[in-house]
Amino acid sequence: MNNLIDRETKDIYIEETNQSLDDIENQLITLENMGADIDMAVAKKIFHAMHIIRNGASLLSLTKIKDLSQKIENVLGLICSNRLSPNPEVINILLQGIDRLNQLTDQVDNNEDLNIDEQSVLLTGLTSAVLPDDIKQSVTEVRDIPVPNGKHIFKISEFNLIQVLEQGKNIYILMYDLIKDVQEKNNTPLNFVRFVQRHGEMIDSVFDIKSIGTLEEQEFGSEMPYFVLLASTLSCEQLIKELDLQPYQIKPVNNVIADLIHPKTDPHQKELSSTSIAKNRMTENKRRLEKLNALFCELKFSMDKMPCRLDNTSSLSKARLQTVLLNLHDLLYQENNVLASKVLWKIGRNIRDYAYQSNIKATIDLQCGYIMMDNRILCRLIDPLTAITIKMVRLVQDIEPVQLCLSMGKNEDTIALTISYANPHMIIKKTHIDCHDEEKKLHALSADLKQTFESDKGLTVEIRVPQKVFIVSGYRVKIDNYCYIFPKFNVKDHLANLNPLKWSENDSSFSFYHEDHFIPIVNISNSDISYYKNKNKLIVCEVGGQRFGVAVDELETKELDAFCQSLGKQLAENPLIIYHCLLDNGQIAFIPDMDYLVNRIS
Amino acid sequence: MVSTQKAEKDGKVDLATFYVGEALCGMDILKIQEINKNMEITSVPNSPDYVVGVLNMRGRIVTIIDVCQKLGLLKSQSTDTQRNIIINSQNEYIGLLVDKVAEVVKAEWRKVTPPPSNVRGVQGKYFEGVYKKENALIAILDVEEVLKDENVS
Amino acid sequence: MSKKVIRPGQDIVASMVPEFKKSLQELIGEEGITEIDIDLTGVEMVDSVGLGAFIATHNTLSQKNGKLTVIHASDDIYSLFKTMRLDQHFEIQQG
Repeated sequence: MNNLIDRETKDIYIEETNQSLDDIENQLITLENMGADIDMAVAKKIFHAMHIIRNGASLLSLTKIKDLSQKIENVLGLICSNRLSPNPEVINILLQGIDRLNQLTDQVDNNEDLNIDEQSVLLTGLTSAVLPDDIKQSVTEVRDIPVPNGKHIFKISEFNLIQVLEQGKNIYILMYDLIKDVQEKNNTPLNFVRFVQRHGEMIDSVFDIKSIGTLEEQEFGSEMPYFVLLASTLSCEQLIKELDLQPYQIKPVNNVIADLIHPKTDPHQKELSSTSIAKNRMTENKRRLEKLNALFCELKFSMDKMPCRLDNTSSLSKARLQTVLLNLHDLLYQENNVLASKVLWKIGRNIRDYAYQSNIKATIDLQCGYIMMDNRILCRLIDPLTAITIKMVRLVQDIEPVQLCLSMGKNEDTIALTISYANPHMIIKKTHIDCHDEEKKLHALSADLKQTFESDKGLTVEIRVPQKVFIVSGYRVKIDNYCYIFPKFNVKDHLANLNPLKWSENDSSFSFYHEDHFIPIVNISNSDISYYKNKNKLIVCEVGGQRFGVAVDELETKELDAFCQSLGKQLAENPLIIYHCLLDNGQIAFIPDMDYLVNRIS
Repeated sequence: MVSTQKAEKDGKVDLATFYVGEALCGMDILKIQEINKNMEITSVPNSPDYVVGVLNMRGRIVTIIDVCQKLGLLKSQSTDTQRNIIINSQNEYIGLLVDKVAEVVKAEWRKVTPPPSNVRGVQGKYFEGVYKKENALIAILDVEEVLKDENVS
Repeated sequence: MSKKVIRPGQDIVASMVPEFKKSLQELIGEEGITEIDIDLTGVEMVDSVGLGAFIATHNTLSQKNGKLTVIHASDDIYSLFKTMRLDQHFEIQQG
């Protein structure tokens, strides 16, 4: 029981665990770098250290720390018995687990907000893939049943749930307020509980103690939320009648656990397949989102170039479409946004790797809070932020470990990421860093960078990233020294080393034989089209069902995300281009108006 | 009519002066964001002659206009003295490519007279007025008029 | 030692809870007590408001890194607290 151990023991445990976790991190990277010849002694050291952490957590009733360290210990056990190889993917998953453990120990008295679900799924996925059936049984199978208020989760062993279901019972969540449902009905808690138990089995229950508050906060007669997980042979309607409930107070949860009895499968096989199902679903979702983003771009491009006549009806329909576009944009904004910490943790990993390879001590503490950002922006931030952080690490002259901090703040439509020294009382060599390359990469995201030096704080680097951006995914192409980005949505194929025999000339128009058809070639410039015969690469486009080709000088097959900047007024009349954008190297690329191109098919 | 209205301002003004072809022009220095000699201008395909191209100015893409050509003179020669004058017009940044930048001149609006119909080959409509300084005549540019689209009546 | 034992000696119900909470607040706030044992000798019943008082006391003491223990609970009260999983938050001793 957690109250038998005093505060001091807990503090000692936390301190020792933190120290141990630091060592474990280094040892994991060492293990990864050993490649094929792993020194089992290192693996065993980590396993042993993890075991001690887990035991201590169990004794102190630190449930989350215990559960997570158990899962990490299981994976390490597999590595020690040579059933799992510590490749970078495995080490990454372990490091994510260690990161979360660090956060849990830092906030040991108040880690309600930190959950271990993501890390648990990843770690269990590793074990499920490897363990043979008999040993799998000993790994506890617990099912989460969340309470509708989103604050609590019942964690019940699947074995118990299966037993209940096999007895033909239904499982419900009952939501009570002890003041309203018991006190004000002149009832006592004891009678109330016995009454409920007459109609079913209370598998578990929980008070929302936070809502009840402290002695100062609690006012006489305020609510006391109480949730019961009940197994009963009665139906929902019958229970409402028997227990005198309002319909909103009862929620059946059979659908959440139905898979436990149909079909009868090995629970670990199920977990393994659910991990790969989850993985597949993630890739499917990613592809679906990419497609949605591309569709949105196509729609926006059409709208942008739609003529705005003074005619009432056409401007009304344009206004209607604009509203649709805006709403779609808002929806997509939510889909594209993820928790910044989910992507930016990789910066921490990169710094760890750098420190390991340079044989120094350097860490970066990421304080992202609950800030959400567009995933595409986050992915592009990792490299420049890593480079900037490493440059700031190199600025320090002391032998002491360098501790940096990345904090994030939101200001209307801009998010600021600030990298600063956590221990600024060390000597740094210069008052600023040379980061022109990183700046170019940030400019390509419409972001900017600012360096400030203060004698008491040292160097601080602030990166401001606007949230309202228009991102087009496309392929970079070079035609006559102009750089274009052709939208992915419109590009069907790209060809190189063109067979000269496949060209066909008809008066002043060219076509190329591709996939059983002759596709017309569009002249993107105003010069003579026969010039294009000398280009040996072709990009095959499709707009509104119409296919055509554009001859190019250079072609990048890897797609990139272009952050579009609107054209100035002087360029707005240009029929060929619709937007321009910056590339990572500072160059300017143009987004062609695909409508214009398709209309040039002679 | 229009030219007299333009010249009816009060107080003092600092004029940044520069050469457009042979004409010595001026502009209220407060309208200028910066002057730079960044010539890494990317040309824009299918654009009119007076659009020199676009420039990456610290992450912002700025269109650069050759003022000479826009005003109907011959294209300015690429020389070392060319500069971009970055101004803000109707909420966007535009660069004016000029041949040579000269000094800042302190002037008073009441001493500015309406422009003649022709200043060194450039139509008078492009100027707010002229200011006489010692031996030189500074033609104060009406930037909005310069940037106006010729095709719009 | 900032530990104290309180013995209400009566049923913990709505009518006496305000006074009860006040005295607890005084103990914690003014005397700086962080460990409290509530001795339930002679207490036969706890109603909903009384339960709330226990939970609120636990919440307050938790904030101060303190501890609440309920001792000498009757069989009924012990079983009630266990069924309602209050033993997951503070220690309850039967007696």
